[in-house]
Amino acid sequence: MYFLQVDTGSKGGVDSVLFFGTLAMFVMAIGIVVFVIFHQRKIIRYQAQMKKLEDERQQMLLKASIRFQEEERQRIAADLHDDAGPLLATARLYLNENLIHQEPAVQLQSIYNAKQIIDDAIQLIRNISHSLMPPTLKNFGLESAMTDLFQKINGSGSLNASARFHDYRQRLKLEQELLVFRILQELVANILKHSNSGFIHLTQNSNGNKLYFRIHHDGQGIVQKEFEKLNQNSRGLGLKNIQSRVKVLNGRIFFEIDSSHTYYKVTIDVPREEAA
Amino acid sequence: MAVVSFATTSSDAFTSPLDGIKGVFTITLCIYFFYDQLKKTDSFLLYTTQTFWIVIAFLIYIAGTFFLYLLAQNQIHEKSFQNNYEIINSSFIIIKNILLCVAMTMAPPPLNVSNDPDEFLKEDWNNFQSQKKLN
Repeated sequence: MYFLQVDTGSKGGVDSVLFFGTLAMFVMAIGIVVFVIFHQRKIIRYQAQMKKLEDERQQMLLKASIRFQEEERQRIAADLHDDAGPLLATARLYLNENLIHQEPAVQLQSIYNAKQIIDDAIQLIRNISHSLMPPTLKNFGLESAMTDLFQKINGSGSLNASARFHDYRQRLKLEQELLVFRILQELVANILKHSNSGFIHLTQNSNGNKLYFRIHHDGQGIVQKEFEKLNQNSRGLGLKNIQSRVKVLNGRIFFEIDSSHTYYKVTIDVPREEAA
Repeated sequence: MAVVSFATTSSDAFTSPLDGIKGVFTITLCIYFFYDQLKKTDSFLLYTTQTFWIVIAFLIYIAGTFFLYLLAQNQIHEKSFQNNYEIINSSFIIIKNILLCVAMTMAPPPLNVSNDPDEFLKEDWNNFQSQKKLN
């Protein structure tokens, strides 16, 4: 405003306008440049911070995944060592070298006992193998595997579990199915363990190239914020495993509560990769 | 604008209104350039690029001589204005040239080759897939 009031007709006025105008424009130009530099530095710092946080999260998920694998291996090793090992050792005892010097009746009894023990060992190894890859899932797909799981839960009589697949004519790749199954299994296990719910209902649907799985339950659940908070927590593997599996699937997971606050829902969306 | 300026004025005269518009337009373009650069998510610092120094050279020159050219059409015959004109114009030309020199000393922009390990892995994977198809 000052410049506008200066009488440009006088010599001093022109000089003032020129001096202050030039100075103002120069300061403005320098101001713009300084602002741009500092603002960009701020943006870069913020991005670096976000990247660091993301890296830490990835690292945590990776560690959780490795720890889970190690625990799984230890469990299998323990099962083999504690159950299959003694069974086979006992069977060996029945079939020792002295058996030929025994009475035929004793021999028959020993062979029968050894056969029983070997059958038990076979069953045990089969159970271990089924826990790694459920045969229903492998042979009949995710729908059957989930129905099978829910039937077992219903059999306990403690709660009502049901599943409905609306659009699952084309199966996913086996690896994808296994990952989805493990996620759903973990979610169901968490619901059984922590929620005290009366029912669990699983629905499946698809939209374009995406498959949606949604679990409803009427117990005590968590929402997305709590999920993220628990996920950051170093304790507890279950949710981290869910998160890392969802990441492997390039999918997303949402924990929500119904608007009427009567039930909780967990939605997973997964890009479809159909089996060859 | 340059064509209009060239066609309507004699070679030794200043065209202050056109210079003013030209200045505002150039400053606006420079600000838009900075805005556009800030929107990009590249993590390299802006002042390490040649373009940045070239743009600030012209921004400072145009901003610094804005009022000079605005007043030149009417005041150029005044002795004191001529002195001021010489000083201000020369100073900003020197600043502009220094900034352009800085721009020239900056390393040229990197070639369009990615150093991202993911890109290499993808490329490797694509090569592997194409090899597999050939076999």
